[in-house]
Amino acid sequence: MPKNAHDNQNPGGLFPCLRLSLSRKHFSAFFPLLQSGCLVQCPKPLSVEAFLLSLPGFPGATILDGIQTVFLDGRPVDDIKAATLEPDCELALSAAMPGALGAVMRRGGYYAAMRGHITFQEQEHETIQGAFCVTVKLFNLLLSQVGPSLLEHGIVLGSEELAGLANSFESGISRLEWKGQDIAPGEFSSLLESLPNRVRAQLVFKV
Amino acid sequence: MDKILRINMGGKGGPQVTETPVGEYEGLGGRAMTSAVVLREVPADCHPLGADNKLVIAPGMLSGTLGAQTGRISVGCKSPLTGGIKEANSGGQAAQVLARLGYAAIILEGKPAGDSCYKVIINKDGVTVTEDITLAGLGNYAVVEKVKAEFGDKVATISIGPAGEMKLGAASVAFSDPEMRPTRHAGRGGVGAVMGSKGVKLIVLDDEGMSRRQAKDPEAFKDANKRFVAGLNSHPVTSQGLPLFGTNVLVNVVNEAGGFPTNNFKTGRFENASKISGETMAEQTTARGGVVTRGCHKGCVIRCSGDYIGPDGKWLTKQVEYETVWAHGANCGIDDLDIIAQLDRMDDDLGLDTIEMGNAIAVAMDAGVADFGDGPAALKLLEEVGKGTPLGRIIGSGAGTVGRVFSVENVPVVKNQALPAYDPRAVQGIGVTYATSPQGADHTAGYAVATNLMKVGGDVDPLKPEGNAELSRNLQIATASIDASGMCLFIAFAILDQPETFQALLDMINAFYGYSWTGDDWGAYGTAILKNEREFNTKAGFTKNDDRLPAFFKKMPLAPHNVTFQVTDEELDSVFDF
Repeated sequence: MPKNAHDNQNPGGLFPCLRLSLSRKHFSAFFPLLQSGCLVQCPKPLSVEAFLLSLPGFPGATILDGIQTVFLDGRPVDDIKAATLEPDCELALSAAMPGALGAVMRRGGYYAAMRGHITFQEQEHETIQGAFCVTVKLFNLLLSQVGPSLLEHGIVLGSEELAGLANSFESGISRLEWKGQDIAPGEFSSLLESLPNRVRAQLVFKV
Repeated sequence: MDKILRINMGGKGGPQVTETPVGEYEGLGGRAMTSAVVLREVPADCHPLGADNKLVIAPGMLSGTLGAQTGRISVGCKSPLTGGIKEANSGGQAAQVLARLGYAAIILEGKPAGDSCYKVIINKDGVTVTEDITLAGLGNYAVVEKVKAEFGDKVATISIGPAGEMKLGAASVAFSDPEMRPTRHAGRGGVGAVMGSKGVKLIVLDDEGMSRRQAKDPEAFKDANKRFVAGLNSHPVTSQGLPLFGTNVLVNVVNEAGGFPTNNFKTGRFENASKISGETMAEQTTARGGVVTRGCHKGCVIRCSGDYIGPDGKWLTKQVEYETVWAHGANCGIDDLDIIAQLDRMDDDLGLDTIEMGNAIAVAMDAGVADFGDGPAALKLLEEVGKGTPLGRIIGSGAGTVGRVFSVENVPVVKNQALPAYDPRAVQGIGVTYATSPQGADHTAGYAVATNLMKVGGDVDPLKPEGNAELSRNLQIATASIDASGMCLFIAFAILDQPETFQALLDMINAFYGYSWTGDDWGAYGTAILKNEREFNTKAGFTKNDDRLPAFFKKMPLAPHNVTFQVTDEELDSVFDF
């Protein structure tokens, strides 16, 4: 039976879009969220590499090479071209890490055998139609290297979660769009009160 | 480094100082020196706290030179914690200063008749050993403050805290850092207890008037060092990840892998890991006005340490390291960085191994002495150690003792030394090293991830299932070599990925000593160290049955991957098929 977007609480593959332009100095306010995991919309089943390359403004091959430690559902991934995102999966991305552990966890690394029994193995997929959500976590150097692209792509937030974060960035809003309509930044607080349960927040950081 | 300083603390009429040529120990540094001396001079059946044991303090082969990363020092003895050979490694200033003073090792021998408290002063004019009862019972911070008042802040110190004086199994030896704080420790195996048993509280090293050690080929050494530094500065782990976030950068990654032992190794994920991660700590340090990047010794270019600023805005301790954050944090269910930092400060002051103490408290929590997650209770247990109460002495004797006293079944120790911060069920290859290292469970025993370059033990196919034993063996050999060089183990990443950086390291050794070593020679050097250590342990009564993980790792599946340790005893026994 085909798996579709409704299985993933993502009807039609879209949430109403809230787009915020923010001062770059407020970017670090999102570090805790990026570390613990953001719900992100994925348009269709994509490999980890294809997903990353699809992010707006993703810096490309240089950064891709720097993503040396990748987990899907907690399992270290060796081949990011083959590992495919599925509904509800958790993707975690890190730079190369120190320690024997860091070397062991590296994708395709020399010491991969030392964690062979937990290594991610690509399975046959059910047919999946439409968009779905995945959880993405960013660690260490990738917070600043991949974080801006991921946040511009948009993260799915509950309205209460967004309200909880608002204090840390509200003063840095330079532009606000709700469902494609410009709204005065000063109206953000009142907009928060009228938002539906879930929105796709696209966060664009300006220097 | 052409002489060895021997201080017989049990000499007639008081401590006797002798200096001998380095002799049969020529060319040995760091761990190679400590393990060779212990094997040849310490009776394997002696009591670790008795007169026959010796405490050997040795700078690395390249310490005291202009070489980068060469400030590591080794402390060796028969361990009161494991009963086997021990090498505990530390940063700090002492390696460089001791080497410039010309000593390849300090060896503390014998035992004073009473409970005396001695300090040793070593400078260009010689060595003095004097009784100083005013030091007795002081924490390491107070000891260093007294030294600063008397000698200024350019000297280096080696000291023990009250835990060492009480001769506890978790007692460490403290080394002062470039800011002259006692934050760097040879932590593992109770080496501080052996120093305490010798009655030595403090060693002050003053290299004023001494010059750097000179290479046999100074120009070639300088050139090799330049290439070596360039390699470190171009690698993302050593030039970005470690300086920006410190070793605690590992929390999120190990947690994600499901290998972050939580609540005394009950599960592999800690729900609040992101609250104690290196990323969070770095943000907090910056917000509180601290410095996130410092070296643990002069000449360090990686600079993986930094400040930990308390909630009051004052410096509390050094940037807390990954192993400590794990041991006092997730393993005790504690998610408050400020409490973890306080525990780190107390460990440093009392002179305790943070890994052993975190495990000991976690085992006590498992026994119901306190609740997992109860930070104030953890602080109180450490206070008990400092006071030397019966409960405190039990905790300070390590996780194995706590487990025996409180009848806890699942005690994470190998050779009675507590496991570090990677669950061996999730990362089985590291479990092999925990089980088989002559040092007891030790993450740094298999740290030098460059065996493919060194070709130690020949080429290995890492993808074959039985590769774990072979990989572990080669990692342990390579690590022993680096521990002997005086280099920081973190150079391993740059030399793993960049063959030219590994060649630069070899070129440094060759230029300094006039050798013509290849990677094979480097591997042979490490193999000889491990053979010495294995020989001592065999004489001390260790058998292959000591090269095992506790049984619960084979029986209790670890969430989230629900895996058990699956490496067979036969594979473990094959690790040291030299």
